[in-house]
Parts: sequence; C-alpha cells; structure tokens
Amino acid sequence: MTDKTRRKRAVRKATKGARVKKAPAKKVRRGTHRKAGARAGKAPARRTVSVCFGTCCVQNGARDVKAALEEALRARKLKSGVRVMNGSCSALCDRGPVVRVEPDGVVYTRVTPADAVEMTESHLAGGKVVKRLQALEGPALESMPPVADVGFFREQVLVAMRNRGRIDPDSIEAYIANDGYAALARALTELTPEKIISEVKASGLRGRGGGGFPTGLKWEICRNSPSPDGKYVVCNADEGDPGAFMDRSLLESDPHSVIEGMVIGARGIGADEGYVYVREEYPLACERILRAIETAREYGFLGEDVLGTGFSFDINVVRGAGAFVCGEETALMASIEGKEGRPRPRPPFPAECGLWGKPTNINNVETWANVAPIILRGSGWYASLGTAHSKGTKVFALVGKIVNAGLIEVPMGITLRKIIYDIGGGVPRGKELKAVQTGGPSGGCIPASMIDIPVDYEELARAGSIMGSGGLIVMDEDTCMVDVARYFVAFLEEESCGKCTPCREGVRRMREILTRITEGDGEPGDIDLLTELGMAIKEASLCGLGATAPNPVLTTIRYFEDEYRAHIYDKRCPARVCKALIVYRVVPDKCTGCQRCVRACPVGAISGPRSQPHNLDQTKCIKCGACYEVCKFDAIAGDAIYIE
Amino acid sequence: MKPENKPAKRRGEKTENRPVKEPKSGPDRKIVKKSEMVRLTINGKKVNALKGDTVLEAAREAGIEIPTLCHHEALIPTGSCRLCVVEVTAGGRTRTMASCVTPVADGMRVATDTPRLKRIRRMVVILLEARCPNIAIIKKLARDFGVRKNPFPKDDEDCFLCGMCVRACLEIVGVGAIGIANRGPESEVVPPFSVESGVCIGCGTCAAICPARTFTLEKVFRRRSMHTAGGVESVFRCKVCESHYTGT
Amino acid sequence: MDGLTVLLFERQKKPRERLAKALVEAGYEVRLARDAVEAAAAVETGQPHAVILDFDLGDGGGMELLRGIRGSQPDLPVIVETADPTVEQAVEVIKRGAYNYVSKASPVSSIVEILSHALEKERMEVETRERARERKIRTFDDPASLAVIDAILAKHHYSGSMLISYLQDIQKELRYLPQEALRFVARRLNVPLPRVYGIATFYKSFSLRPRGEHMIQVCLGTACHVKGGTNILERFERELGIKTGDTTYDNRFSLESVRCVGCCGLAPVFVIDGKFFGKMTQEKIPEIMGKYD
Repeated sequence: MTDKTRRKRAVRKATKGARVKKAPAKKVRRGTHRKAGARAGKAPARRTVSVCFGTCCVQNGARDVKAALEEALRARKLKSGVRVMNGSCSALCDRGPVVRVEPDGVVYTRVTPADAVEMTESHLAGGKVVKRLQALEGPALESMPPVADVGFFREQVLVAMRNRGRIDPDSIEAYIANDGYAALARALTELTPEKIISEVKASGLRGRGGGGFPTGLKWEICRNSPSPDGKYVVCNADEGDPGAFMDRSLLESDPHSVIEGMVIGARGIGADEGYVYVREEYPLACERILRAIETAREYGFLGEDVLGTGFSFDINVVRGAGAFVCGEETALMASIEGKEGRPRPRPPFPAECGLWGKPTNINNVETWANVAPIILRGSGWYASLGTAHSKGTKVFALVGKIVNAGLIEVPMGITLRKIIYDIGGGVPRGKELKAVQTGGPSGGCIPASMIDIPVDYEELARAGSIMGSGGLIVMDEDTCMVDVARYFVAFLEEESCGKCTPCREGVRRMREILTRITEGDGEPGDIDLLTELGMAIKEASLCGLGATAPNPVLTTIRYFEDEYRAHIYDKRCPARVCKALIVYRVVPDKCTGCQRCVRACPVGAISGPRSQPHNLDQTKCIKCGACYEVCKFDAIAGDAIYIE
Repeated sequence: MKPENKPAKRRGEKTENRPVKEPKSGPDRKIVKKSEMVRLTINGKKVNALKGDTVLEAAREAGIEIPTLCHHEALIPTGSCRLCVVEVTAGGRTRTMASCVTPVADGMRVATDTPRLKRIRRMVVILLEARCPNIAIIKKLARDFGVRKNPFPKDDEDCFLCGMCVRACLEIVGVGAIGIANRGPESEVVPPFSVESGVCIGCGTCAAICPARTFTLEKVFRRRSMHTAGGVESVFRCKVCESHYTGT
Repeated sequence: MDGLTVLLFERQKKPRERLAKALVEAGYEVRLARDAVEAAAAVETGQPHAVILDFDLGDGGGMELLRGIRGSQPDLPVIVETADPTVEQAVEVIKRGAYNYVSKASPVSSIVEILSHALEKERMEVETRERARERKIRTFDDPASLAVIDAILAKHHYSGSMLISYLQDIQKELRYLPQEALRFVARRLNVPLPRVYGIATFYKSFSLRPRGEHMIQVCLGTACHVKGGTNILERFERELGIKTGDTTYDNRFSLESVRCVGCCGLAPVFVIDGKFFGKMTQEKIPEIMGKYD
C-alpha cells in the first residue's frame, strides 16, 4: 500500500465517521463544499485569487479590496472562471492588503479597491500581470519571476507555515485537502502512544516558545507521570514579546494545524482535555481558533470518540487579560485556574504537577504546528533539516529597520546575514546595520559584526542572547543601544509579577540607572553597577522573566560599551535618539522655507517666512521630532550636544 | 458571526463551598507520604532527610544555617525573598535555587555558603535596604552582610512584600481579609479597595507574623484621638486592614 | 465674579473698609457683619459664597465661630484673618477646615487673590461632583444590574476558576469593573474578596474606573518604539490634555499604551475602539481625532 493510498483511506475513514455520526455536519459540508470551489459538474475555476485576511491586511482594507474584486469580476462576467477566497497570512505584513493569484504565482501588494479593478482588467481578463503592484524590493526587482524564485520566499522552508497564503483559515475542507488531519488519522490508527512520542523525540523538535526544551522528552515525562485523574495539554498562545507575531499569524491563518498537533500530543501523553491560552490582544486569533475548534468537533476530530477510535479529547479556549508574565508556564497555569498570574517555583515541573495538580504538558503554538508534519512525513525527514542540535525550521518575525518585514520560516542553521540581506532585502535608506535583537525582552542584541553566526539555540546562547519565540528586530545606525536596553527593562518592570525581590526591585533599579544615563545623568560606576546587579538578578530570580531580564542590558554593555561611555562621560547620544542629549537645529543651507515643519510643530517653536530658512526656538522645543519626520530636505538635524 | 466560547466539559475543579479549601497547584508536602529516606550532601556533609522535606528543612535539621526572610514554619513557603538561595547540583547540572521550596532528592549536592551565594544574597539585601532602610530587620541584615553605602537611591517603604501576613490571614486564620493588589513594583498589601475590611476579626496574626514589626507601636498603627463626652479615647487604626479598634 | 457674595466679618473699621472696597472693586458683592452672632446668622440666611473671618475675638471665640460655620456649611470656603499669626494657630485653623490663614497686615490685593482661588476651587469641586453624580446615575447595586452579573456567573456554573473570564465579561457589559460588581462576585462565588480584587488589579486589561466612550491604545511594542511610537503617545497626551492611563474630563477619550498588538509590519500602530491605524505619524493624529468629534 502506498503512502498515498494509506492517507486516502485514513481521510476517507475520518470524514466517513463524521458523516455517519453527526447530521448537522452534512449541512455544513455542503456549504463549504461550494465555497471550496469543487463544483459538481462544472469546470473548475482557472484561477484562484486569495486576498489575505490576517489582522494587518483586514485593518488595511482587505474586505473592501475583496468586494471590489468580486464586483469587477461580476461586471466582466468572469466570476465563474475565477475563484476569490479569503487567504491566510502571506507574511508580507507591512505592505498589505496582499493578493495572490494562483496558479500564476503572482503576489500583489498594497492593493487598493481601485487597483483590484485594474488587476481584474489587466491580469485576470487580459492575462497581463500588473507590474506596478508587484513590489518586492531587493535583489529580484527587474524581472518579475514567480513567487518561488523571489529572494524573500526562495530561502524559506515552510513547515509550520505550510499552508501560508493557500487556504481559507475558516475552511476545514481546505485544510483537509492539504493533508490536514491525515497525520492525526495515522497517529490514532497506526501508531501507539509510545511510538508517537518516540517519533517526536527522534525528530529533534525543541520548544519553539523560546525555552528550546526537547519536546518529545517533555511529552515522555508527562506521559510517565502517574495520574488516575487525567492529564492536560496546553497551547501557550500568550505571545507577549513585543515585535513578535508568529503565533498570532499561525492561529489566524491555520488554526487546524494547532488543533491537530494538540490531539496527537494528547494521544501520546494520555491527556483528555486541552487548553489554548490566547492573549486578549489577539481578538481575531481567538475568534478563528474558537471557530476551528467548533468545526473540528463537528467533523469528529475533537470530542468524544475522535475519529471513531474511542479516544476522547476536547479543547477549551481561555483568554488572557493583559499580563506578559502569563507566558511563563506556571503563571499561565495559575491564570487558567482563575488566579493572579504569579509564577511559582519549579520543581515540581508542570509535566509532573500542573493544572490543578495534574500532569500538564505546555507547548507553544509553533511547536504544536510542527507536530502533524513530523508524524506524517516522518521524524527522519524533520531531522534532516536544521543543525545537529537544533532540528527543523523556525518561524521568525523579521521587523524593524529592514526592507522586507514580515514572517519567515527558515531552516535552523541559516545565518543571520542571509536572513537580513537575502530574505529581508537589507537595511532601507542605505543605513548601516548595527545590531539584531533576538528573543524579545529576554534576549540580547547581536552586533553587526557577528551576523555570520548560524541561527541555532546554542549559538545564540553563546553570543549572550536566546532564540526566544522568534522576534528578530533589525536595528541600524539610528538606534541607540542604551535606549533599547532601557526600553526592554522598562517593559519588564511593568510586567514583573512582583513576587520575588531580585526581579521586582532589581529590574526597577536597572531601569532607574538606564533612564539616568539616557537623560545625561550617568555616573562613572554605572556600568559596573548594572553588570553586578544584572548578574545577581539573573541568578536569583524565581522565574524566567527575571532570570532573563538582564540580557538586553548585559549584551548591550558587552557589545556596545562605547555607546554607554559616550552617554555617561561625554553626555552624548551617538545615535541621536536620547532626547535630553540632542538638539534639533535647522540647517540653513538645506532649508527651502517650505513651512512644512512650521505647520507640524505642535508648540510653534519654528518660525520663519516662506522661502527663507526657518528658525527653531530651543526654549520652546519639546523634542517631539515632528519636524524631523516631515522635512523632505534633510534640513532638520538632530545634533548631539556637549555638556561641560 | 463570532463564535461563542462553548466550553468543553470541564472537570478538574470542584465547587468551592468554603473560601479556604482551594485545590492547590503547588507543592504540598503535607500530602506526600513521608515514608522514604533521602540521602543528600550539604556543604560536603552527608545528610539524611525524609522525602518531601525541603532543602532548607534538611539543612536546619543538620544544624546548617541559611538566612531567610519570608519563611515561617506555619505557612506554605513561596520562595519570594530569595535570601535562602543555595547551589544545587543534581543530574549533572548546578542551579541556584531557593532552599525553602526545593524538595530534597537522592544524591543531591547542596552548597549553602559559596562566594557566589554570598554575592547574590548581599545584592538582595542591598535591594531590600534601598526599599526599606528604616525597618529594623532589614537594617540588621544590612549590618550582617556588611552593606554600608547603598548604591541605589533610598525609598522609605515599611513593607517588603514578603506576603506572610496575607498567607497567615488565609491559611492560618482562614479569613482572607487582605491581599496583594497590583503587580510588580506597584504591589501592595491592602484590604480590597483600600477601605476598612468588612471581615477582619482583629486577631492581630498579621501584625504578629510580620517580620518588620520590630519597631514601636506608633509606627505600626496610626493613632487617632476621639473626643467623647467621657474624655479623650485613643482609637487605633490597624495599618494593615484599616479597621479601627480602641485600646492602649 | 458676577453675583458672588462675600461675607466680611472684620471688627476694626479701617481694615474692614479697605478690604470691602477692594472686594467691591474686584467685582464681589460684600456683606458686612459686625459681630460673631451677626456673622453666624448671615452665614445661615444670606448664603454667601465665601467668608472672611476675623479670628481675634478673644476666649477662643474665633475658633468657635469657625467650627460653627464649618459644621453647618462644610462647603463654604472660609479665610481666617488675624493680627497675631502663629504657626500653632495656623495649623489648628487649617485642621478645622479653613481655606487659608492670613495676617491682617497682608496687602489687601493678596487677600483678594486668595479669595478668588478659594472660590475657583469650590466651583471646580462642585462641578466635579455634579459630573460624578451624572455618571453615577448608573449604579450597579440595583437588582437589574446584579441580575446581569449573576447571569454571567451562571454561564460557567459559578465555578471559581473562571473568575478571570467572569470579570472580562462583566467589563464588556459595564465597560469597567465597579466596586459593587466585584463585591457581588466575591459573595456569590464564595471566594475571599481580596482574591477578586487581586485579579482585578493584577491584570492590566481590567479597569476599576469608568472608561471613556472611545478607547485609544498606542502600541509601544519594539518595532513601534523603534519607529517613533513614544512620540505618538506623547502627541496624544498633548492633544487630549491627559496622561496615559487617564480619561478626558468629558469622558470621551481614554488613552492607554499597550505592548504589542502584533502588527509589527505596520509600525507605528495605534488602535481606536478596535480599529487599527498603521504606519502612523504625528501629523496624522489631529486629522484622525477630528473624525471622532
């Protein structure tokens, strides 16, 4: 029996079971059947146009674009030949709304409703691609190759994001058509729970939330923890790292991938109940996962007697309430239990004693999304990707001072250089790369001199940072590293639960010192004090938040000590960011007198007649930077000032 | 249309009839059967302990002193002050852990007084002293650790959030009149809404267990005078739960 | 200034006339009292807006008069004058509720200025109380409101572990968490009130104060910060005249900062009533705000 036949049988068995059991399922299926486009008796559509319906694109007007497209198609009587659908996130998040046309492999960005009409005329009716909308800067600009050849996409290997841009997130049919739930069928009908765990162990999958703990081993510990009362599996979707949105996109675009992973995991571990903990700042993700769970129940992939195998498992969704610390395992569990999210000491670990004292396995969204492909394609395949100790792929949120910002999935071991230049298209406006921040507030800044290090758990840790959940923030010469350190520490101070002394008191003191430094009140000895304090906080904190809080500070001191010294001794901010240390001045030679800054200034600090160089009154200036933002002639310069 | 959050059948917590009896989610040594002996090493000295004991308990039994601040025999430990940190080597890894919440394990090697630990404890004390420079027990700790000049600007708090009063009120007395509100540096021990508690029974357990109580009454309680027909009466207002009571 | 009456009780003729003249010139209506009894009576019947009181009545009479006035008219600002000011007396007098304590030797203009401050403060307090009363017309301890809350609790069978979810639903209904609601929840679920209060104060998505009609949330995630998110927040503060975390006086806008709404590709971002605004600059703010008027 070939793989294909086995798979087909499994899926047939799956859907057959659901059809027999639940009458309403029939009704739903017919509706989505039509939506999925396989019209009985009619010729299939020649083209599929998918409009990205992720949060960013929706907020940028994707609904209007879709409506305009459909209207234009109707007017052109092309509706039957072209299928328009809600797409999942294409990860070109800063240039939405994004529209993909398949099978042409063309991606359009920044599409307006008017553009949609042009696209219909030119491309869908006339076969001519609209070059103007097809914008991806970087190496592949002149010729417009198909998507797969464009630098941004070429280097990527999609495992967790395998369905990116290809399916309607609300359609379980589409998911199933792309090998969805086949892994689950295999896991339940062909593998024993022990075999499931050994497969995941062999794959080398490590926690994608940042901890990097071997997933299979964690499952095994949980499985081996005795509990007559049942066990839990939890999906940690409390993605709180500022600058990270991988989990949001995964939940919004492919919720079933997470569900499938959780059911497989539950089977391996022996859990009968699961939770997805979503932060409340992600309303769309919450909505989509809820809907997906409902649909999965209807189809028999969740609930009593999954796929008719006698295995029962169901999932609840719990929403966060605005606490970053609830991404920490023990705090997350406390929150699910209806308490304040204050971490507790470990041991005992959640795998032994978790929710309500029972063995609980907590994994990140991306980790769960990787499980189904591993079961379907085999641990050997997964282990062939990546490095010796960091197998598989990782989803990163590439943001900041980068030409192509968005979500990327790359094999472990790829260098930062490749990510930034080949995929990301480099730093915009010809600025110089300064650092890459990985791992969010728990991570560190890696200087530009080190971007040839491969992305891998151990390598990043050796450099003083961590893999983290996948935030990759690119910083250029206009970023002040002391300000970055202060920013992260201030964030952690707000989010600290306050239970243990080193974090509650220590992080606050770090923020105080860094604020002083950025305001020009740095003192000799501050660097040593920050280092000593940071080491103590690292070693003595109760939970991961505190233990990793000093990382941004310690890495910036390690790699950018000269910037600290400039602030402290010279009272100067080399990157010209720290307001107390900069002065906004009009450069008379460049000022054309266009008056844009005069209008933009909220306090009327700039004056001057039209067509004459303007004058900036320092006594009124509040350093808000509005003038700098609007000046087209580089005529506002932020200079460093020297204090005697 | 937005889907409703229809919960799956949720088992795992029983209906709570009394405020104190909540299912615990942390370590509870009272439930574990103390039937197994555990052999570990503390500072090179071989120590026998019972399974379920914490490293702190085992150390104290063996006569080894470890400083603590938020620990009390009658309360479930939380490991929040971090003064009792020790270095634990088990399974090939060495970690710094709070001894009051770390259960003993066979073959564990513990060091309670290395230079590194001294450094860490000293920083904890420095941070506490910067927060509460006028509390006697903190002043004593500062003296013990040789902290003379504090590198941080000083506050003048009268509470360092050990949380023992809250735990005592809930676990020992069973009333739960006070709690920790807010989070992070803004945490404070207050009765709800910072108004007079409706359920405080005035037992004074919180004041008795508070490690910061070693200063005069005038500082702990705010005293108000009340002019009545019979003369002047002193009315005390409990600093913790804000209730009034009379007395000397 | 129009229509504001000041009761002036000053026994010495010259200072009385000087002060009265200055008050009239400043636009106040002045009523004179010649002794303590008349002063007390005038306060009752005449309903002045403020009182300037001669303290030097001997035998503690000044203090007694002050107490009497504060007792019967606690909202009435009183300025106490004395020829022989001492610190102890000042402390006593202020403790008794006087607005200010001045020496009779002070220049008349400064006394008039103090008076105008006192009246301004009083006016603002009255206005605030009026607004609070208007806002609080919706109290939440009436049976109908409590029934709504009870229904929310019943949805999950009054289970204590769903506390956070209850508070989220209650806040969605009532737009914030009123004290009465929290007390009710604690009673109904039989959990200690500090636990409910602790959850309401620990999680930042909960608000114990009424929120404005429109909620503005400025993202301060890393990408947004690096692209000027803080400047945008400050601009909002200036435009609205409030600090982050507060609500405008007319209850129309609340301003908050959030750490990362996950739209980092569109940095800098802010959200108004759930609507996302990406790639923002300070310039665009007044225009966008204009649409909400």
